[in-house]
Amino acid sequence: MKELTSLALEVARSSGAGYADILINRYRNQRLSAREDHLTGLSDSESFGFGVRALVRGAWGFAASNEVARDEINRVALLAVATAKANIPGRREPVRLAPVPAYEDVWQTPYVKDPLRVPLSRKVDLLLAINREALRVPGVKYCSSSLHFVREDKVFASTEGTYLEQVLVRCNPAYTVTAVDGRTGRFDTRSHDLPPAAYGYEHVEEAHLVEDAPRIAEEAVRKLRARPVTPGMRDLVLHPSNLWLTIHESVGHPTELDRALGYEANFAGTSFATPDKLGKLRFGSPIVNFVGDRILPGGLATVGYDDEGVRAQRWHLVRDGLFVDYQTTREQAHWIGQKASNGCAHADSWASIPFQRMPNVSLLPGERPLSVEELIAGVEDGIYIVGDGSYSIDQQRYNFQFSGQFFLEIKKGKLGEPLRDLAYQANTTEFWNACDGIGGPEAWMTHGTFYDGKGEPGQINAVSHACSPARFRQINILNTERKL
Amino acid sequence: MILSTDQARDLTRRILGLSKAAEALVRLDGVERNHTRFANNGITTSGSSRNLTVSIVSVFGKRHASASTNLMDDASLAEVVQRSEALARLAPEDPEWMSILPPQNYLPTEAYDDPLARLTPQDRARGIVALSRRSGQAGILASGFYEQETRASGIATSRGLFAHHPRTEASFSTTARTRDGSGSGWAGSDVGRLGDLDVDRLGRAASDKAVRSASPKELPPGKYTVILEPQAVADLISNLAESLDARDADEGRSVFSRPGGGSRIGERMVSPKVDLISEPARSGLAGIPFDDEGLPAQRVTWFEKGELRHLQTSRYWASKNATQPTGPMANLILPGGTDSLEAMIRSTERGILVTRFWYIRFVDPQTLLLTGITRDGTFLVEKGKIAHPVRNFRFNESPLSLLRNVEMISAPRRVVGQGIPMAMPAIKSHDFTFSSVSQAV
Repeated sequence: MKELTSLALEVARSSGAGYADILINRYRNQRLSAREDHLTGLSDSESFGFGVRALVRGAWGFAASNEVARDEINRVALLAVATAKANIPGRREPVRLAPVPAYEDVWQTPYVKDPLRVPLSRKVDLLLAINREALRVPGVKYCSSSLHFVREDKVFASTEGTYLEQVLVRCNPAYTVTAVDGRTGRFDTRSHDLPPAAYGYEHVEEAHLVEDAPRIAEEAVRKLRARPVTPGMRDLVLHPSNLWLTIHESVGHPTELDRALGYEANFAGTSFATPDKLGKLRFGSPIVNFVGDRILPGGLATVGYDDEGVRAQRWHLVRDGLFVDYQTTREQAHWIGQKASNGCAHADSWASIPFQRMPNVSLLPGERPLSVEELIAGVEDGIYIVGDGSYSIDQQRYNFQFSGQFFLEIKKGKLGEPLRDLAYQANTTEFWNACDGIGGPEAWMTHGTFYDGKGEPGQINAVSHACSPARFRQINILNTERKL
Repeated sequence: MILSTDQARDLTRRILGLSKAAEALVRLDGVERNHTRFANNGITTSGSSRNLTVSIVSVFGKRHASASTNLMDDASLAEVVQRSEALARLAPEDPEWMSILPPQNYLPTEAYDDPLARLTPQDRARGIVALSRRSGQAGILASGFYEQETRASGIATSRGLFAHHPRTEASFSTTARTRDGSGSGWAGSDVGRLGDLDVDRLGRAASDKAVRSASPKELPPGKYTVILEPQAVADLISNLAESLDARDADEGRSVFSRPGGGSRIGERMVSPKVDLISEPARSGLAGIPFDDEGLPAQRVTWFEKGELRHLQTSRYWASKNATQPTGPMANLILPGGTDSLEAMIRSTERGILVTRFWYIRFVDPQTLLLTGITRDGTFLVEKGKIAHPVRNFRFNESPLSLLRNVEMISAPRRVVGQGIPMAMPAIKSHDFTFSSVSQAV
């Protein structure tokens, strides 16, 4: 492989590139899906190719191909340089890359069982057992379950002497139960809360997916019969299975530096968290601490090195409630006067240009043990929310609206009856400043997604968010029931 | 890489020749993508990629599985066939499996434009440099995305079906923001022919809207009459289209389910002014003429004079219910009326003019309730005139309510679609629910 990477870099350099890098990636994706008593889909895909990025007089060019062969590498490297040259008249200011040491290293996700080597029959049996257990519950009509496994073998090399080989593995088990009341025409769903994670098949085996199915199914039925929520200002206690998505949207995206400086304006928008607010903006209450983290065990954005050869690290984005830093790449560090990237470059494919993507962004736990029950005990009139549901946030990350999977009323410090038709809506900094309780280290858990979207052309990114349960005072609750 | 039709036929024959399954289906997806991205009046990234992916579905009775690769050497093709067969043999029987299709007749959908296929990085850069220069002189920060794609989809089966569809597409969109950050405008379009793309006009439209939307005033949330520009209509209707599924409706888990059982086909669910159709062969909106199984796309009327006429029906669901499958939704057209946007504004005592929406998500599938945010040009219309820009709103509303409350509709035009070509009109509708105000610009 080194011979091929050297060829690409040499061609790029000799045709005018001041800097060049190459990613040669092989992806394996295996997907299984089932509904009720049968398997509906089984697929196994492989994608192999390379992409060359060239910097010529401060302008980028990129080209990629699925033919990993000497002639094609030569053609693609020349095309990347030619594209960069075409962009020189249009660039605003020359790209400057923050320095990075040259590494030669190998790294892989610390998994125990390669999910692609686990016998298919075990995976099929698991999905059908989940569905069977869920469908035993009266009122449940449908159950859909799925498994998705990814293995990435990636090689990165740059003209600065870095050569890296990494193997990334991740798993995404999921299921959704649907309850239907034929008489009233009402229906509702409940999805399992198990997150995807960068572990091997042991993540699936240790998850009690089948054992949980009756409870998940019963909660789908309970949602059907639940009382509609009364709208108004209420206290919230959010389980990590709900809070991770709120962190993702209201903290993860606004602290992307390219977004804050207008580079995503035409797609997802910009950010309220502009560089002039660094060290000044009271993002949350003093107990709120967020970190960018590419070393989180099991984290979907956990790597050895990012896609421009910067070593994985962890750093504060918000410290004691104060906004203190961004997610950056080598190109971006100097935009805010920093000397080094914090390692957030990522390309979702050999055919994609590496750019700034979200690391795992996590809410640090409180220093002392504090359980979800203790958080609930401090609420006179509120709501406890488990699982992620509908989610939407504006193009500068101020106004958001989230729902959930399962809602329970809190009265006088105790959990009560289930509620339905509920969403919470807030402004990001008002919400995080309303946080007055964060669970302890013992309650810290990781959730996440395979499918975070950003950029044009759109790229996806797998990312995790760890947090403990947390409490928020006087948040706007909506009733989302409508009559057509 | 893009294969000619003869090359595609040869490759699919070669792969089917390796198959030992009872039945087999091969898909080809060849693609060449080229793009240039810009922000703050300067080009940021630009690139191109080519790929060719082969997928094979192997079938033994009711057992099936698929495998794919983008490696085209003999050994890799043999390996992918064997991999799909090994998986299929291990798979349990799928009672819903429908057998592989024989040859089909497809609508003529001419979608290849040679000038578009030959667009270069220099061509894209030229348009962007001119737009950026003009924006800079006008005190505007322009950003955007210019993408061109040539794609060829192929399908072949062991029962003799073969189809191949090369096509070109381009998309250009731009967001213009005032330097003080208080105004933002957007314009964009998908095209199938280079001659239909006017980068200069789109750039001017976005810039003009940014200036006009600067320093918005805040209005209280509530129910408003709205005038939605075609892109805003498309943003909502694409979510409605996702829900047009016959099986979900028959199973009682859709807004199109009839309480007590069955679907609401035959019911008037929205205003009689509303039709919604797919017309795969429509010039300038041509979609892919077949789906992943080789089933032909056809003209389908989803709503006619407000009545729900069809829901998307798979081959399995059609066979179970003794109906016909609809085929894929190749494009989406709301044929609309003859009202102009200007006439809608003139006729409005008090209402909100919306350029487009953002971050739309389902809130409740029971009513198709959606939430999202207005973006890039939201204005108060008063006494028949645009009075002033307003702060963006979050909405919580169902597209079915929007279409039920329609007062006026314009002729449709091509917009930026969500995965399929779309042509949508501007719509004036009443009692649209804005639930909160956003500070976002």
